[in-house]
Amino acid sequence: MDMSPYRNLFFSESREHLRAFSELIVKMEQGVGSREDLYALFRSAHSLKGMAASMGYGGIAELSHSLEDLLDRVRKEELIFDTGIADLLLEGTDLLEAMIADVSAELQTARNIDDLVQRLATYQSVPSGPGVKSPASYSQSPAIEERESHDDAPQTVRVRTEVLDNLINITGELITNKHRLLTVGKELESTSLDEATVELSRLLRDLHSEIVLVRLIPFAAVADRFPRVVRDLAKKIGKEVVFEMEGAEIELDRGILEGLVDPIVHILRNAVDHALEVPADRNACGKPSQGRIKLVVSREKDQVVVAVVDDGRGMDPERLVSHAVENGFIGPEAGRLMTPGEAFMLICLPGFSTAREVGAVSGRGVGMDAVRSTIQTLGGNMTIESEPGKGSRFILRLPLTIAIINVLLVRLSLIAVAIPVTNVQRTLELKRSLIYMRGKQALFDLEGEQLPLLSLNRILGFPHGGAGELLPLFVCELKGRRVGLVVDSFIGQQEIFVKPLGRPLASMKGLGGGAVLGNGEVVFILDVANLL
Amino acid sequence: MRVTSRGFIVFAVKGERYGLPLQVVAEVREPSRPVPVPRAPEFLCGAMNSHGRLVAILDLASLLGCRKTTPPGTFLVLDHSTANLALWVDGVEGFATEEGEGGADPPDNDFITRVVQSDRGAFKMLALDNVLKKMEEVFKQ
Repeated sequence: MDMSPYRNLFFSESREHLRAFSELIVKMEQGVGSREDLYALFRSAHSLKGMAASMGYGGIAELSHSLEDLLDRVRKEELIFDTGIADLLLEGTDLLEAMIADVSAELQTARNIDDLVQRLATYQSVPSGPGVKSPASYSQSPAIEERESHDDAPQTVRVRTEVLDNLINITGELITNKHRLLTVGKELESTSLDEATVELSRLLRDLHSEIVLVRLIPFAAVADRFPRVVRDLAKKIGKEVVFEMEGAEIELDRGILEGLVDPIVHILRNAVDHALEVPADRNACGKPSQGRIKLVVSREKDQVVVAVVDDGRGMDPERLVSHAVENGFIGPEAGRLMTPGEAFMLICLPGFSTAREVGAVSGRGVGMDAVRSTIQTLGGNMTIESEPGKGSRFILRLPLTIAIINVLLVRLSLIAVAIPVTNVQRTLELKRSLIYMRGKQALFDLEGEQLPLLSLNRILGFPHGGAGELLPLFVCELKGRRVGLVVDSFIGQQEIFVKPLGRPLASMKGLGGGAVLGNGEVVFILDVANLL
Repeated sequence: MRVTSRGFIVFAVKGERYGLPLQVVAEVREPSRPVPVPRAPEFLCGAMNSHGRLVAILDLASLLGCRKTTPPGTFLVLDHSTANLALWVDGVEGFATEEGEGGADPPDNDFITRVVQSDRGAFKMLALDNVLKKMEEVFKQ
């Protein structure tokens, strides 16, 4: 039988099993897993074995079988689930992931599984100690009999993600064309056309809402890797960490969710590496040995809020400001005017590092600029709260959907461009007489702060624009500095449907996407974080 | 004409004949006024809305090192699975099928894969991937 049509299904399902597998292993190791979690682990290994065998992937089936055997010994209470078992199972998960990637890429790599299979088969638990849980102590749910989880699953179908992308694209086009019909209706003064367009608008609104809902997937779809990230790093650097997660059921756009993984991993790694103290230091200041990191996801109106909270050493805003002034990141006057919230954001400046130790794990504190840039590219923003000695809270606010965003439309000399409103701190019209020069740099004062004045036409390579007495400008942050960007005029604020640029325009620095306005005009959405 | 995997579309750029496999070209259309693209290099004329896609418009002559294409010319819009790109060329000659196996050795030009002998005579096969890579390389600067 030709199994090739089932290959993609095998890859997506096996990866789902492995993701769930890793999360459950860490949960069991931390002693918070239930007997049902143990059964779920066993079932995943069993399913993976069966799927791989039916596809003819002998190595994957054999390794899955060995994992299943080890879990069976735990299930039968011959072994207790200890750190050694967790290590072996995670090693097996990594190897299976690599083997599946090989098969997916049609590589003929022969990976050696014999050593691991041998260690899985001969594993003996070490005597009980802290953190080790006997099987009898797993919390039991009312129904602990082994059952296939899909028995009572709701009716669902798998849809390829590009189909969803096409659907939202077509819907966006329909909305754009509806605006054209409205314009034509006004020109023709046709009541019947107006009525039909109004009805079309209502249907399109419903269609759009449904399509947006279809694209939403729960945070849990990417969350299962986070416990492992924390666990592995904590173990490597000798820290004790309890990791908790809340709100994994909250849904957000697939595109945003995929883009969020790297920033969250980076913040988590920084929290383990830099924020949490070693056990001795924690004890010395009256804290428990185990540090706590919490990942909390919640909904606020049309935004999703992701917060990473730790109970580590926290940050001192005054120390951050003095470091920034000493190293020339900001001037003394700007430093004096900074609020604590602004001071914490200094860690997002490229090259800014206050890490006590230069660790190989999270680099030299570098990377927070990339984190903020990614969040901004996703249409969101980041804020930081912290208290010395108590801990920090990194808060990421993201739109529910990436496809429709709120923008400020501005006119330049040759075209109109869109700036996501999340990047616009304020807009104003500046009298030319209030501009002064320092060297070749034009400056103006805003709320006691000296801001550089730049021409957006010039940055984008367009000819010089209008020359009125009042200069329209918006204030935003470029490379960690607040600046005023002069435009020709403001068109206004509106919601637009974002079109990805694709190849090759997606490589153009400073462009984040495109859109077609109701009048058919094409506009580019600026990626403000990468404009310079 | 029957479209086969050996079918090509042949077009002219500054008096030279070039070709592409039929399956990578989605549409041949009259040029429309392109929207200027920020920071565009000389070979990028702009972008346009093509059935809901934002498509970059490449002045192929300019990229190949010739003088810029003279209006009006023709837009060859590529299939979306290849790129969001339209080639601005002087004109389309028509469809061609390859005669015999293989073709002459490629000329010393990264943008040409080989010379194809067809029922319409010889033409240079455009190395589309290298064209895209070159564009992306310049865009990232």
